[in-house]
Amino acid sequence: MALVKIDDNIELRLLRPEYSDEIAAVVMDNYAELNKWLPWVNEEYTAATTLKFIKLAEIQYAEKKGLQAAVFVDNSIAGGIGFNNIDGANRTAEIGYWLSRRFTGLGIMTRCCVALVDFGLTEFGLNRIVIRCATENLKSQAIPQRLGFTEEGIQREAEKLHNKYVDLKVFSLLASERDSIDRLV
Amino acid sequence: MFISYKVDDDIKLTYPLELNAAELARVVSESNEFLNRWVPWAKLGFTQEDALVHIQFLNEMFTKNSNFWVFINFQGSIAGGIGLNRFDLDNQATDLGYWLAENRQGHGIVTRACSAMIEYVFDDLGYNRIELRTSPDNDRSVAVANRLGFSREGVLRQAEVINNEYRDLELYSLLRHEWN
Repeated sequence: MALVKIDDNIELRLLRPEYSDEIAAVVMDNYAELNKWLPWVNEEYTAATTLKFIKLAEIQYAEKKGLQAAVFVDNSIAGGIGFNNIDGANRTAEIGYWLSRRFTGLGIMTRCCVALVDFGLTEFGLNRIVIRCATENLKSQAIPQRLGFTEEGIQREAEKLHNKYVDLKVFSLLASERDSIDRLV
Repeated sequence: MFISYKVDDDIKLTYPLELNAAELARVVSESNEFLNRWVPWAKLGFTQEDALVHIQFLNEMFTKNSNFWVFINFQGSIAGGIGLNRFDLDNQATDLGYWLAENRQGHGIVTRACSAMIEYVFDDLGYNRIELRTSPDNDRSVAVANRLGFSREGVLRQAEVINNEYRDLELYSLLRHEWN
């Protein structure tokens, strides 16, 4: 069942253990691209890695600490998107995402992010939504920029990406700024 | 088990025990309005019961390995607290936090306690990055960050709720290779 239906072809569904094999196949098919920016896509990655992640995500969802979804395009998995560390006390959360190269360049992830931002502000009552991208990952940064997020600064060496540290650009959108995504819904 | 760590002749870092509740309640209530401006848990009208709940919370976080907070003991009595708020093993990073009673300000206590904690993070834990978040209008806290050589990275807008109001937080960090 869809968590959010974006159009007739695209929807977000909460991650389920049954998806782990299909996700692993998509990740392996996109290994070179995903390995470049995602710490969890490394030599040790298998379907079991994703199954473990999904089980953890289910617990976090039950505790209202996170939400992880698969992006479905025409009933096949195209990527992943989710809220990491939902901070209920401060009403903030961070969005993370990845997409198979077969579906990039079509504005799909931008629309998924708009939908998730809207979901977070409306359903979770969030006040602040963060997106962090490696400073050299310009494709990823284009999404918060397109959505009207504000760039707040650069966290130096904040992410360990395989054998090196990378700087992360911090973007945020506040509930008071939701007009900037409403025009994209 | 860790009970206390001597920073210098004046300062010790001590593990929070339930029997400290009365003393913590007194220290916090003496500085209540001052602390309430910056410290989310230092509610106005802070009681011994609140102190006990806070200590139990710190102990619970300690056993869960998610936060590690100790008291800053100055010349034999509790003057404040210092701690690490997140152990991010994947990225070798943690967040440093602190508070100090109003009547203990101006002795360099927090700076000295922070130095000990920073040494622990880089030398004992072997981490790479320490993050410090502080209210932009908390001049004393900003001064501590600068004195310790932290770099200012930006402002996180409305990142914290204090007294039902959203507050901006200035983001500072110190990297392992910047500390000697």
